Amino acid sequence: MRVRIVPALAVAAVLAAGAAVAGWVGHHRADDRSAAVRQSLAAAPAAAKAIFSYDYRTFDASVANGKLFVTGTFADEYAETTAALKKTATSEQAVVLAEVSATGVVNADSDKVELLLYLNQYRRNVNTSGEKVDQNRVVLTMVPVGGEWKVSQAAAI
Amino acid sequence: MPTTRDQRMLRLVKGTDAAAVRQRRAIVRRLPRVQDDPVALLAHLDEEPVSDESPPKRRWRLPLIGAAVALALALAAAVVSGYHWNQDRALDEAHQQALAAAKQTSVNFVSVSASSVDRDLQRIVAGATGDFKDEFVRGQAQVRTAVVENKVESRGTVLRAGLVSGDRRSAVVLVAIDATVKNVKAPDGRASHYRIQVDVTRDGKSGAWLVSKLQFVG
Repeated sequence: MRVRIVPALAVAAVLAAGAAVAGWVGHHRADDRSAAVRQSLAAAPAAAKAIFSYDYRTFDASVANGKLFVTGTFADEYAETTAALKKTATSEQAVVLAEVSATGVVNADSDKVELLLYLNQYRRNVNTSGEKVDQNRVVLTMVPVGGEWKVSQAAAI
Repeated sequence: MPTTRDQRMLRLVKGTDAAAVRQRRAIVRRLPRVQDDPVALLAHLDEEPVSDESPPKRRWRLPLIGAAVALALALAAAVVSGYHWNQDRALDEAHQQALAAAKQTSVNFVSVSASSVDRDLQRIVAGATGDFKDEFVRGQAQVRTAVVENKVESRGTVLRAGLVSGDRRSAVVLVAIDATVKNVKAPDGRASHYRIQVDVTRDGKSGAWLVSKLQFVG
């Protein structure tokens, strides 16, 4: 009877070690996720501001700046959209300034975070007198690229 | 031919019959311990006590200590990581509940109809607490009149909700809602796009998440 204590203890130790590892892995994952949330939340306002702002006088520079914040297929989409926009922006003398008023986390994984942004676009052009404000709701999907969080998808809802 | 004596010996060994053999059993008797010579014992008093039982004892003691130490360490690790895991899980659960409550109360807030005005307003009060509840209750009669007079029919749907920040007791949540609002001025309905931000708090007594502040973000 006494001798069987050893295997019993060993089994219990293995089980407890398994639970410890599982708990540690789970905690580690949660840590990774909250780091992803922190970093993407920090990066999102500047990224959104860069992507959704432009000035007809410095259009190419605006676009070049925006490109720093995008990645993947969205980078191509952004390049296409801005290329198509350039002519109108110039003829209308459009100046659009984007400002983020609030940011929340919709979904978060360690390698992908979906954010909801309340984004105002202050527009000026020759067709309108004064400034017009668009109150947008934007969903940004952000992914880490070489340590930086970039926008891999953006949609106005 | 075996003699009578031989037969008796044979019976002693084999037993008289099979049944008798089965009944026979071995009885172990403890032999009295052989007492050591007390003088010899005294002569060995300064030496390590050596007993016959110690070699087998040593055989299981080392693995026992090892297993016990391993178990203690593993349990300690499991308790620590289990504590963290539980904290994470509780926080995650709090976030989900905060989001759910924020979505529900926000959508309730923009879904009020003349035909069901009392129920609709009551539903908003039920999801509210603190300043938001006080303000809403104070203005409730006025809202009710306006809703009925203008024949308001408003239905909202949540498009997306996002957590701005939150712990296990409170959170700030964004709720993007679209609603169709019908009234006497717009009988066919007009689409409204809302940007709502709510503060939600966990009620200490009921454990329910309630909205303590609701604002439209400009």
